[in-house]
Amino acid sequence: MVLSKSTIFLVFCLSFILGVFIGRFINSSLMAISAMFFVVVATIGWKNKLAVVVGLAGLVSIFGAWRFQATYTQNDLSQFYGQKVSGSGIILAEPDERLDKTYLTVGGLEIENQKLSSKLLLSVGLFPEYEYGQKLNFEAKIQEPKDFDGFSYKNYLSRFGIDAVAYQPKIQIENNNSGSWVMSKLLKLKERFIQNLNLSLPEPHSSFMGGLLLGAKRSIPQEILDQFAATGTSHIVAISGYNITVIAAGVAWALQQAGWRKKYSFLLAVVAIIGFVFMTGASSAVVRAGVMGILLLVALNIGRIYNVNNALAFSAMLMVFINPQVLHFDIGFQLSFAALLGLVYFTPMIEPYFWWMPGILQPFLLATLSAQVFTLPILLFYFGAISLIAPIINVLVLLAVPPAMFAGFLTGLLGFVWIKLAFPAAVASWLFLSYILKAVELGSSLPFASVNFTINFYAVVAYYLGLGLILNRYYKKEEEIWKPKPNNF
Amino acid sequence: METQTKQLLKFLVLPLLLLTAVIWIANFQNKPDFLMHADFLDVGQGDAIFIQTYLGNQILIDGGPSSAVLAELGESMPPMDRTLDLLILTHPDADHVTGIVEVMRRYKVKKILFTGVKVDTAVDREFEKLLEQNHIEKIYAHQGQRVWLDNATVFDIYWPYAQPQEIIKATNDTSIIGKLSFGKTQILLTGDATSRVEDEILALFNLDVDLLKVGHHGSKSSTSTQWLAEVTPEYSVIQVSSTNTYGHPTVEVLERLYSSGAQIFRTDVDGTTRFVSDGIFLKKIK
Repeated sequence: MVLSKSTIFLVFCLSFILGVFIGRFINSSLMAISAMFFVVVATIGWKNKLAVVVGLAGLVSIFGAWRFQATYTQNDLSQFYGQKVSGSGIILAEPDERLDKTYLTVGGLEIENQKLSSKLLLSVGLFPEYEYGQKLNFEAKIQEPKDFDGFSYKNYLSRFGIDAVAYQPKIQIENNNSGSWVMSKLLKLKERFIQNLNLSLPEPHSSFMGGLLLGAKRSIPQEILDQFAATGTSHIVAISGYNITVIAAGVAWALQQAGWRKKYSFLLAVVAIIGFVFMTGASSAVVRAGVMGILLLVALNIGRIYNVNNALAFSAMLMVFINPQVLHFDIGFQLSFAALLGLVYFTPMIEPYFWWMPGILQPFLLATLSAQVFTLPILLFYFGAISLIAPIINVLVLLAVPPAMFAGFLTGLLGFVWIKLAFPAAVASWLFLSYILKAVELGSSLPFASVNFTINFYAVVAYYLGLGLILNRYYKKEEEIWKPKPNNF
Repeated sequence: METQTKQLLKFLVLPLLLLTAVIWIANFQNKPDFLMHADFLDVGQGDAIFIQTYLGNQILIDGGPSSAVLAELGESMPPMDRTLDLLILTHPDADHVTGIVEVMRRYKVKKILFTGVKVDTAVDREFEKLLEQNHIEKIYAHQGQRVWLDNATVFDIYWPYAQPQEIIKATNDTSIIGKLSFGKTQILLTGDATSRVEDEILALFNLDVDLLKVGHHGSKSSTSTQWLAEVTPEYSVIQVSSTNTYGHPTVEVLERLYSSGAQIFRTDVDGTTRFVSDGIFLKKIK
């Protein structure tokens, strides 16, 4: 067996991810024993490259498992569960404003003269309003996040570093400038942009546009969110790799129109994505979408499959390393990575079968199908429902997303000059958004739009193993076709 | 040359045509249909009522407890319409004023009719701030006042008696109560007033109406039997959320309404409930 450097790199990346995955299920003594085992393997087989790689990969896995456990068990708020305490802290993220309440993520906590590293989620009313960077003194009953309907709210919050919640605390603002200056200015700008949308568009269109353009999780009525879920289109409401690639493609196109060369415009599109992520306040969901967007651009621009493999594995490893909990508790991460893998690996495989599709629809259908095939088991495992009309509705809806985003972007931008100037753009975005909302509403009202069906964990594993085998065979064959034939003169 | 024409068609003419079409549709929708509309909006545990008079004046009565009212307005009003002619705030409790604040931030509001009662809450302070900032014309409600909503629609105010100045704890009893009349169609709006207030105005006015907005989300302290005997509504609407913790609407009130012969609509069961009137008949539409 030949082990090239790039294969070894791939193995290490994957074993780290595997380690983080296993980390949830094993204890430290098991970890210690297996660590010893791998050290022995590496030492005995010192001359054998394969043995060394296996040994080191095993150690990398154990490091991953340790890393997961270290972040998972770190919780210094648990001592206060159920107690009424007074303390202080800083609002570390943009307040998450919902229809009838606001959530504040408070960090830099000091409770009873004890500095804490865990964060606290405060649930407050819509008024008075708070903003990023305010330092608060609060009196609150610290509570352990409750699980409901089989959904672990605690694990969900834990990946943001939040380990406790408090409802309706008494709050006093101590000062307004404890956050980063740049961040607070950026958030102000974003807020103004959203305000421009709010002034020009009715609800729910303006909330929807805010989600589409900036990933602002604002107040979209639950009824409409359910419709998106039933038609398998939830991914466009929250910001995802797709929205980001639309933005990047827009930038690249504009630059090419302005006479830039293709190579540079691709690079600048990547820069634009990074800029966009920071502009929107770099919330974890947007960062994730940004990474996915860049990866997709890179994957589509590097032709060679090995480099793509490594790029994907490396960035997955990096994201999991930074926050190991996303692998287990962030369904969004799992879904978007699965969808990305589908787009990169599955699309080329099914493309030949869809030659009959009209050119404009084909990429949307291919992308939707690939993403669906790859995300299906995750959706079934967590949500126990499958949307049968998802491919059709997705194609219909995705077609309208780029023009809607463009019109919405113009609306927000022109609003800075004069809100009346934005009117034509607002009309156009209203039109596209209404089309999307209507399509989703009609789709969700069809019988059998969504069918309940649950699978267990082993079925998920089996599904992905099967998928992996099929892909492996396909790419082996591709390789043989393209391999230079020996000359037989 | 040919490609240039194509480009022009694609990027200028086509979008402009589309835009013109949209504006025409919007304009068409904007025109009044010469019917009065009364939409009791489903905004959860709180009141919000949208009225469009037969000449097209738009009025919002209370805003509910959240920004849910915005999506409801988006549906009740033409899409690009960003102006409300009149806001009515019956009393400044959070389940009536919160949505009003959100509306004032996004819509151009011409006038507001309210009691001037102040409560010292964050949302009420924001409300006062926006009133000043947006230069909204203020009208203070008092008993005996008649507000013309257009040339054939009036709102007669039965309560409050006078304008209370100091900060009041029992804000519910400062609610604006009044009768909205368009031709022969009459709607009684009650805010959150309790039977104490109901008793005071029973003898003073002709309360007979077609449609009653049931007081205080169906709380048993409002909507007494004597009150219903005077009001004799054909329809009654309770604005309430299915998940409220107050036990609204109460069995007592439902029984009283039932025995008065009124047809009962609830926003927690029926969702947003819409009525139209041509000045003679009032009917519920889908």
